[in-house]
Amino acid sequence: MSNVLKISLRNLSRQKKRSFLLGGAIAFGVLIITLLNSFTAGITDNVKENFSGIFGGHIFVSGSVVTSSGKVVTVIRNDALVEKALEPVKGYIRSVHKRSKVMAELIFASRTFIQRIDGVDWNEEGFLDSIPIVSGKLSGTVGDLKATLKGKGGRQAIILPVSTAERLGIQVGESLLARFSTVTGQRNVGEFVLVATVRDQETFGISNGFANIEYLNELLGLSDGEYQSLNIYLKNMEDIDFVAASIYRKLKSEALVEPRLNMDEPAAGKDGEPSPSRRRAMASLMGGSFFGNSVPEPWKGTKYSVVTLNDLLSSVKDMVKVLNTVGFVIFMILLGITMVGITNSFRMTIRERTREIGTMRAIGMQRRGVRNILLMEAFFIALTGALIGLLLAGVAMLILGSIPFGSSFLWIFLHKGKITFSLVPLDVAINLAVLLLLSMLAAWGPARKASRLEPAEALRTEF
Amino acid sequence: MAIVELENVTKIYPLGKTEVVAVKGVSFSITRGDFISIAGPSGSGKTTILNMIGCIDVPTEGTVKIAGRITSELNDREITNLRHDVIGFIFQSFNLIPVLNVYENIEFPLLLGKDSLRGREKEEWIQFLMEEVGLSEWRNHKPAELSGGQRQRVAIARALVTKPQIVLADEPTANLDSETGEAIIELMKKMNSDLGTTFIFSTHDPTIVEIADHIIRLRDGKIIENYRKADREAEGKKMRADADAEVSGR
Ligand SMILES: Nc1ncnc2c1ncn2[C@@H]1O[C@H](COP(=O)(O)OP(=O)(O)OP(=O)(O)O)[C@@H](O)[C@H]1O
Ligand SMILES: [Mg+2]
Repeated sequence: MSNVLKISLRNLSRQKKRSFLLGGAIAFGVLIITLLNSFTAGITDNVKENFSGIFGGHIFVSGSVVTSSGKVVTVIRNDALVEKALEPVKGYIRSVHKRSKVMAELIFASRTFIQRIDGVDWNEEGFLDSIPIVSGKLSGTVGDLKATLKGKGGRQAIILPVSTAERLGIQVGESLLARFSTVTGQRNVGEFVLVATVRDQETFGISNGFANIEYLNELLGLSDGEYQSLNIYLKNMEDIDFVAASIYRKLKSEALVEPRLNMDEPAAGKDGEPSPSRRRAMASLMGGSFFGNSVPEPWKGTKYSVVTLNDLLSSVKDMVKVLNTVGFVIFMILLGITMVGITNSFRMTIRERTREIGTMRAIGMQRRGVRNILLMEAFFIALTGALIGLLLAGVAMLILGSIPFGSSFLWIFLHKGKITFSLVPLDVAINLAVLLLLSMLAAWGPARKASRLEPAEALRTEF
Repeated sequence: MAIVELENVTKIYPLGKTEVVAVKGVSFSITRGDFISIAGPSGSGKTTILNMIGCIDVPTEGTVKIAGRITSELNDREITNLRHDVIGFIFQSFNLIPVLNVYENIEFPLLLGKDSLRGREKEEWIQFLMEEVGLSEWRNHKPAELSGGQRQRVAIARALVTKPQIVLADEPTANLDSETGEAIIELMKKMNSDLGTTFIFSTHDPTIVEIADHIIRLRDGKIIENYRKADREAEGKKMRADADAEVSGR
């Protein structure tokens, strides 16, 4: 083992108090930043996961057609092209679901409310588990619900957000009417029975009801094999952007495609209004009739649109960015304090070790050697502190991750009612690099000063 | 052959607004392999002279030549190398590295050099030195676990490990009782004759001064006496012979 390394390592245990305090401060900083980073990463994942349950997918491909009367309807009549576009990325896809959606005017007693309704296959695997069903006075348990939906009651069943049900004043088991435009632009009305309510996501401007796709398609005037949106679940949410881009490119080479959302564009413009491309994305996801039926420039055939969960979650992203920034600022403040601590304690160290440094220099150690001993001490204190901090963060994650939060309004951030943490290796690596660099920087001044001590002077020092 | 040559060396230290002349116009040379004592009362300039010979300080005026090189002409890296290669240090307060054990302390200077001993050869050499200074059984002990005399023995072994031409010892016995001190000087003397290393030590203890072959006495930064015993004995013999001749001539 190199001389310098050996001495600096042993000096760590020689100055236990110093190592302990500095290492402890660093460990604390690393603990906080790691927890925060993993927390926000976990939140992002959970929000995506939960939203993908609400929207019923990760990537959504929809089509719009201009009718002879000049109206736009959302429909995919022939999905050969879409299937072809999915072919190259088949390996990434977990499942694909054909869905219809509609902006319906719900009518109960004398009250009305506009609600987005997704047509789903009640038997679709995992569907009921993916939506936040509210149990209690408004609805039966999931077990009952499954039986209800599978049976005869499934055809006209509807599931609505709690707030919508409250606005309408409707109870589970009661019937309501839904009025909307068909794909040919006619008005149509259907009768539904409320079977359950789901927790609201209104905070994020998203609120979704669910109805039987077969019944909805009939009401919409869609024939067999026609649908409005292809909802794609991926095996791994990390691949969303990549897969969506691939599908988009493929579609674009053969058909009209709505331009993709510019990811760098802010969610809202300066006046707080959604930007045009985001509005377009939202519209295509919400159903064609959402923003009215007027078309500035009509087109021929089907115009496709590819929207992803990521496109829609920019507000979550902004929040995560804020949290991460706050975390980083805290980390930097802690680091700043630690750096001052390192600089001061190393100054003291050098004073205490002046004669030792003089001895080493007299015996033939170059300046560089003296400096490196001290830099290495700082390095190892920081490294050990960081590793302990990471370890503590791991323990804290295990503990915090096991606390059940029940059914709180925070559900959208949670996974099965619990906080989850997701350790992002790149974040950890960056934090460690910054930490090690700054620690050595803090020790640099004293180390340099130590290396420049005159040996004769240093040896004269009494201590 | 002279391994150390001081020529008209003056060392002035600034002290606040005034200055202290620690050494005034000193000249002497030291023969390789000698056992030299620099004697004088406190403040007479012993440490100052040893520091200049040891290349950890340079003269204000005059030149110090070590192994043929003028120390004031070297930069820090060169002079550090010169110290490492040519000089061994023994300090009054031992100055061992507290975090290293006996073996590691002795080994330390070897790890600083570029073409030092390695592997088995190195271990055998350190083992030999530990036996010479009588500390083989203390190999794994830290300095804090040793007595003063033992620490100074480690320091002697450390000073010799690079096989330097000169070993400097500034009052090596000052922190030891007189018996232990004498034993230390005896050990140094033994190493001097076994290895042929030049030893220069300072002291103000008159009984120890006499062990040296070459004695330099200082007072107030000046040499008041400088002689080699061998020369003086030869001189004495000559004087006696002259006297005898005179007597017999009568
Ligand atoms: N760095 C320094 N700054 C100022 N004055 C110094 C310095 N070093 C030595 N002196 C002065 O120079 C003179 C000689 O000092 P030096 O240490 O060489 O004497 P010494 O013979 O070693 O004394 P002692 O036996 O006490 O160790 C003293 O008057 C001392 O005060
Ligand atoms: Mg002295």
